[in-house]
Amino acid sequence: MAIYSLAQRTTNLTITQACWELRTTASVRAVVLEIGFIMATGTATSIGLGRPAAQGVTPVNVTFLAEDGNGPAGNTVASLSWATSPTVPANFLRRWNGPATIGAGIVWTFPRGLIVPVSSSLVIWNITANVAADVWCVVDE
Amino acid sequence: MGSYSVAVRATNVASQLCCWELRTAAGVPALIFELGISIAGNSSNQIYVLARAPIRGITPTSPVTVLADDNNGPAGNTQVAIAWSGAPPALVASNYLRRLTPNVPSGVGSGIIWTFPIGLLVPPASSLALFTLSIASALDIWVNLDE
Repeated sequence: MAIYSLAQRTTNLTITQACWELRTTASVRAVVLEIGFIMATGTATSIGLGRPAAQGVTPVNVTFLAEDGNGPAGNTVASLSWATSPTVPANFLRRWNGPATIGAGIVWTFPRGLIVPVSSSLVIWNITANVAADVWCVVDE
Repeated sequence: MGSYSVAVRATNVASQLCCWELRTAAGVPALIFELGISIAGNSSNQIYVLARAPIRGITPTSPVTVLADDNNGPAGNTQVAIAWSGAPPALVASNYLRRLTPNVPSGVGSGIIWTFPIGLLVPPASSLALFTLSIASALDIWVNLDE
């Protein structure tokens, strides 16, 4: 196993939709170690982290980057947009409220790993109307 | 043992009441490693305390079971509740495990992540609760535990 990271600027600000989706491949699960969310706009917001009831359809994927520059390419991907958005998690693993302040944010750590099985997803969900935000994630795969 | 998490929005804003209760099942203790609070309202003078409830809440309304951090793992047993059709957990008057006064700078977005590196044990069939000592606001609260 090896460590991979990816940072992106979210663009989907629509309420009750995902703004970020981590997706595993059919053969490689991901163990999430850290997720960071930093607001880029000064508007109060509320987000949740959870496993979507259904994955997004036709995602625009970006592959995670190896933290060992000589390591093999990653398998896990993340998406900010879809033809059909992921659907809402039944319950959230984490929730957070952001003030109307650029630069506010949260770093969730999972020292023992949050496991995303093969062919599944983890999403950051816009519980209220969201703002553009910088999101990063560290996984072991 | 496995790792489990869940996050909910607590909505009880009354003073001197419980706004969140973690309830262990009979025969299954919970070992808490992290408890996070994110304030969702701008009420002033908010104070929250974490304590072991001497009397559990009666008939919790739609309690939520913790979710496995390994999605292929067994279902969780511990539940969290934010409302009760009977009495809420009895208020603890003193001797708290943690306190939080989040009114700096103000309300929304304030919060804290309490960590328990060697685990905070909640025995079977008992409760750990977050109480409001003064006017509260809605808040998001998550917990990570082993059971």
